[in-house]
Amino acid sequence: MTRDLVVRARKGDHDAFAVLAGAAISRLGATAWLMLRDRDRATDAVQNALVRAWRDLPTLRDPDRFDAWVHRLLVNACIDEIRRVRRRPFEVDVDITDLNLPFLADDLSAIADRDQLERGFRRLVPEERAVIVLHLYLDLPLPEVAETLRIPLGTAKSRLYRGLRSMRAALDADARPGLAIPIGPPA
Amino acid sequence: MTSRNRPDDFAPTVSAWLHEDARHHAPDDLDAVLRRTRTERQRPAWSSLERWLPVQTTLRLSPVPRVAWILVILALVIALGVAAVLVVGSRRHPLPPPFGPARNGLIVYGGSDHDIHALDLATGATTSLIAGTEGDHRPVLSPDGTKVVFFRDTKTIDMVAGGYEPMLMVANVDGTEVRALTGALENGAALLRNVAWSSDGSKVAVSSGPGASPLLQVFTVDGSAKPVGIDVHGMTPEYLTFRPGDREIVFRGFNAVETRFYAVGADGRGLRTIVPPFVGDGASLSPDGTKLAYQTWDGTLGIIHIVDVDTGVDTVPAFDPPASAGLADDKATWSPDGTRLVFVTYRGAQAQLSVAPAAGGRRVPIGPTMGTCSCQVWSDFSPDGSKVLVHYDADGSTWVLDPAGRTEGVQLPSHISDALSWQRQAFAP
Repeated sequence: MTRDLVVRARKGDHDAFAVLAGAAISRLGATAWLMLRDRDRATDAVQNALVRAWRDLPTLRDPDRFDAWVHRLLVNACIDEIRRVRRRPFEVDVDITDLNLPFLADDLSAIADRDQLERGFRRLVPEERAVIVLHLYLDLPLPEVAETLRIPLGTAKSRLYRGLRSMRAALDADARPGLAIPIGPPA
Repeated sequence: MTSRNRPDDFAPTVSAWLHEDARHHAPDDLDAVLRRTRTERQRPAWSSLERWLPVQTTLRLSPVPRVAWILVILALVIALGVAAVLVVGSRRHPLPPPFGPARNGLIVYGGSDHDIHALDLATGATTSLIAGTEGDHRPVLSPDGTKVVFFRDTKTIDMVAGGYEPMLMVANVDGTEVRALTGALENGAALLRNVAWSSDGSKVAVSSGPGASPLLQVFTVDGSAKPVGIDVHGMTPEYLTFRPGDREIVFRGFNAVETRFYAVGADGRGLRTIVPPFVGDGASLSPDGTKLAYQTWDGTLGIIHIVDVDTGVDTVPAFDPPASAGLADDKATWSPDGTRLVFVTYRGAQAQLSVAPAAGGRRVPIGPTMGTCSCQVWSDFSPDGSKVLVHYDADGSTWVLDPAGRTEGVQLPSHISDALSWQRQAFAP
């Protein structure tokens, strides 16, 4: 089914492309969010990747590789976006927590862990983020991650190893007693 | 036991976080995409080489140069190498004194690519000193600027802290003669404050093993003597510094109950308390080794103290304006001549560096302001004291600033991942 749609879209059938894009956009959007941590820029990256996919679809040789190919376009769009954003002022998306809900110690601990994972993830270089998201969110096996990103398997493995190590280091650093001391006045 | 204590399941933890996080944030704007693609023309199929040829980009193809060219290039490289050795060998490089002001040399740093690099601020040129597949971090230059130690990740996982254990490496400042100084250290995080050079550059002190069995060890750089293990009475040592003369090491020690400052003989004898139990942060030994600057924090006030290392007499420099509930100071570092301090000042929700006379006086705010977070701010003076180098974890930016605050700072390349080390060189005779 997907193959037929790709073949039709490759010949310029925009309706077929709309079906393909509609099926992929949710995962692409999630992937872009995870890499960029910014909703507007994730939307931009997904749009750019899908527009490029439509434009370059006739050049795709193997219709069965459509999914991996679109994800490669998306990852490249995200990496471009990260590099562009790094030259602009720092902004973050803020989650608003419902303060009416009762807080438990475990909730606070989980929020702190998520915050630490978030900060650890933000410190990764774009290429490490890409491998982690493709492997641990999209569940692609590492050889497929390597093929999607067009990098050697060993490079994919080392980027995964380094990325996880950096994230773990962020958690470990925050867990150290010496860092638990408040360093500034209450905001 | 939390997830961070089980190294084997960290990848599933990250995976679970990614899946949960993606659920709440995935953007989905198909209409906008289709509006754009409807007006976009497709590329013709023949315009892509890959459409016609099976392109395998994961295979790296190397061109095969002609043998004659290889020999010519090899001969040139050898000739240049010999010439360089002769030129360099014929010069005598005077070394800077082990403490006090010195001439500014290269800035050495760990990059986001996990390699060690050097930046020449005069030319803006960066060079890669230590590259490869290993993860290298947090270089610290020797006081004479000729050697560098840095942490290298090993694949051993610390069973207590759950992190990858680092080992300490040493190399010449040009990146040659890289070798291991230690084995894998029982330490979840390789931190600058866990390592210190002796002032004569012959020894390196390193702390490791937070938790059950903290260690403070002194390694001889040339490997001529066995490491000295120092009994730290169960306190995890950090902010290590050799006092001039290298007879004593000053450090901050903490356990689950308290934090103190100590001094101990480099031979492991004579552990003594400098500052009794306190709550606070940071530590910096004055260049002459007589005074220690640190912060106390009572939940409202963050105050810089200066304590005499020999007598324990503690004073608070009177900065103008003074620290208050809305103005907290932290992480002071001495200037090379021992007359000024650079420190982080928190004003409400903002953090900014300040420079002030160590004896007290007007504080000068310098550099950009940052939103406060639990991220680290690292700062230090240049060897000649004319500049301040700062790295903000909050946005990953690194700056060279004017300590007088008269001129705007210069932002350094964005791939610097954490604290830096500025090479000390001898002033021209």
